[in-house]
Amino acid sequence: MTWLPLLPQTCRSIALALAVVLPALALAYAGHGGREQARVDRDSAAASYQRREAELRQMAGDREERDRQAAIFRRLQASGLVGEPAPLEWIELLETLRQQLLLPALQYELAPPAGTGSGDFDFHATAMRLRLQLVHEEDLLLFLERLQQEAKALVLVRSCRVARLPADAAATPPAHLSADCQVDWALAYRKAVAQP
Amino acid sequence: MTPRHLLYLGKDGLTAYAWQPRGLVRQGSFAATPGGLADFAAYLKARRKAEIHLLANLRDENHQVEAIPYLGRRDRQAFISRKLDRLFPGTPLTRTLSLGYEQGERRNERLLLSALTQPSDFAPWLDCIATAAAPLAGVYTHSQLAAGLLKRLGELPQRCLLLTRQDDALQESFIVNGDTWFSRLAPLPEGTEAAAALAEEAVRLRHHLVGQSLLGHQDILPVFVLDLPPILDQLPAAAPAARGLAFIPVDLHAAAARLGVGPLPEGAGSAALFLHLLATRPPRRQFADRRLRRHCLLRRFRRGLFAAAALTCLAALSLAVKAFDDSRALAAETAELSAREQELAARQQDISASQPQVAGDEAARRRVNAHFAELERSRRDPGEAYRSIGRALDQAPAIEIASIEWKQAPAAGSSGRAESIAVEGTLAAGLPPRQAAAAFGRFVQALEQDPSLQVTTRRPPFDPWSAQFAGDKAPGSPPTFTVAIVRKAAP
Repeated sequence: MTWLPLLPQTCRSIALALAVVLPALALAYAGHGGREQARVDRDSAAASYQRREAELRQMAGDREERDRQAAIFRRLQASGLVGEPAPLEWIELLETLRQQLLLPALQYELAPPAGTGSGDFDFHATAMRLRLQLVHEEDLLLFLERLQQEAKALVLVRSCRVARLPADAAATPPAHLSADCQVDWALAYRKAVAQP
Repeated sequence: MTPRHLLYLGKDGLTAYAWQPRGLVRQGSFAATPGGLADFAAYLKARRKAEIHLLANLRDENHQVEAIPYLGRRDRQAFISRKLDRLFPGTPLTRTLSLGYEQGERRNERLLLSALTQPSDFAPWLDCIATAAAPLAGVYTHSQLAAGLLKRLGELPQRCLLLTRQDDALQESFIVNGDTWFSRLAPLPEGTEAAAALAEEAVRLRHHLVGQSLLGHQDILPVFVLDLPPILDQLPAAAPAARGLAFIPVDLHAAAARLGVGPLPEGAGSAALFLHLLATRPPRRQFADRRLRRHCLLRRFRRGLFAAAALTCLAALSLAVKAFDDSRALAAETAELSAREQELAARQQDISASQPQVAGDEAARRRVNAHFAELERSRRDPGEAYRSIGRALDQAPAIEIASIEWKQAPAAGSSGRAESIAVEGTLAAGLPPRQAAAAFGRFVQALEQDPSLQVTTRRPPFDPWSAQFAGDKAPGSPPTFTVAIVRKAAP
């Protein structure tokens, strides 16, 4: 009972201490909350910045890739691989090569072109049968090499049969070998846009 | 420093002192009369912020050494309370000091139990203190401080006696191992020489201690006499020699100087030294219980509470300042990041604007490029096959090639393309079978040396189980053969 009269004073002291401490703690808590929120905002801004940076890098990468693809396409166009089939030019090339390589004989047969494709471009492959008479098998290899380099198409050798010819002293120049080859002339050309 | 007020309670009343670093300051004397008590109440009312230490120099102080069994904390407390009630009934002013545990199996604890057996001497003063709600820190006695005094003066044997004169009375304290085991306040008869009275009391007390078995018959008991020089000078003549006592005079003024007491207040005498000790190093144990000290305990609780609150406040404010500072820095960082992001967005927009998007055209070009790249990857020509066959022919000159059929074909079990070559040939005419077979073998072996060629003999030129060579059945015609080769190029 002797302690009971001290209770109001004790309670007042505790209340006063709390009145001082609680606002300080509330301020510390508010500061902590504010800092956490600022940290969240900063992290969000950093993530957004990094995303933007990645997009910009991707754009730069895409541009480089676009430029590279465009350069490849231009080379294909310059080589004649993109464009309309030109069988007359091919025939002229065959004749030129026959004369330059002194091939005893050269015959060819062109098949109608076979096409595939979708989108803006069609891919054509024109099959050609070449029958040559050669002095040496190296002539065939040289002929095929020159054809692939100078043709305005991608020339793909599918098969070749080289056989020894019976000796014919009267032939000029003398042919020792015959070659029977199947080649494809591959091209891509843009489809015509339908007129409205 | 907390203000300290010291109250000295003697047989003539109560004297109040204020303790300050430069010395004790006497503030008033109060008689145990209604008027004196009223003055004391007024004195207390004006000094409610200071803690009060009450030093009593009254005769009714009892000490008892007891042994109790080893007990748990709560049981021990109850046991001691009952023992105190039995030994010192009717007084709340008691003190318990543990002297340690005995060695041995039972581990009994030895206690020094002390009490002020006339609480009525204290009651009026304590009531005033309680009424004024003054913070009473404790009730102490001379004997309690005796060992501390000798220790501060650098003189504390295991057993000794301290004699001091105060208020026409002689305070005697028998000290054992730093604690007072026996004390007495003996009146000094009028007309008696002080030195002689001191010596007689010392002898009487020695007899009593021997009788109580607190001292051996042959033990020499050091007796410290704290007094003024004129009394001390008379001591050798007054003190009988060779009676088991060794008198050691201690000059009061010298002791006061050594303790740093400062000038002694008028009439204080040796009490000033004890009061100074009480102010500077109050003993932990004292005679007032928690009920009597409740105002002081509450005051200390409030001080502790406010100190803790202040520290907490300071810490919280520091944390808050730091948090706000961090927030500011983070906000600045966020603003900078946003600004830089906007710059990047502007650059992105510029790039997009400078490059018109023709997505469909671009995709078509990529398909064309991919188509021709795939055709290039799978393109083959017969040149390498011819050269491999040529190298094999160099090692088998007897072989003549009739035809080579080269085809491009998909390779089984892989994503690449392979070449299939069919070689038809003959062996030189007129070659003996053994030589012909050897020549053909050399040719095939030479082909197989090329790791890229897989060679299979379809039709050998020589069938050992037949009497005739393979090939044309016409006798005399050269033997023919067919070899199938598969050539895999590296991917």
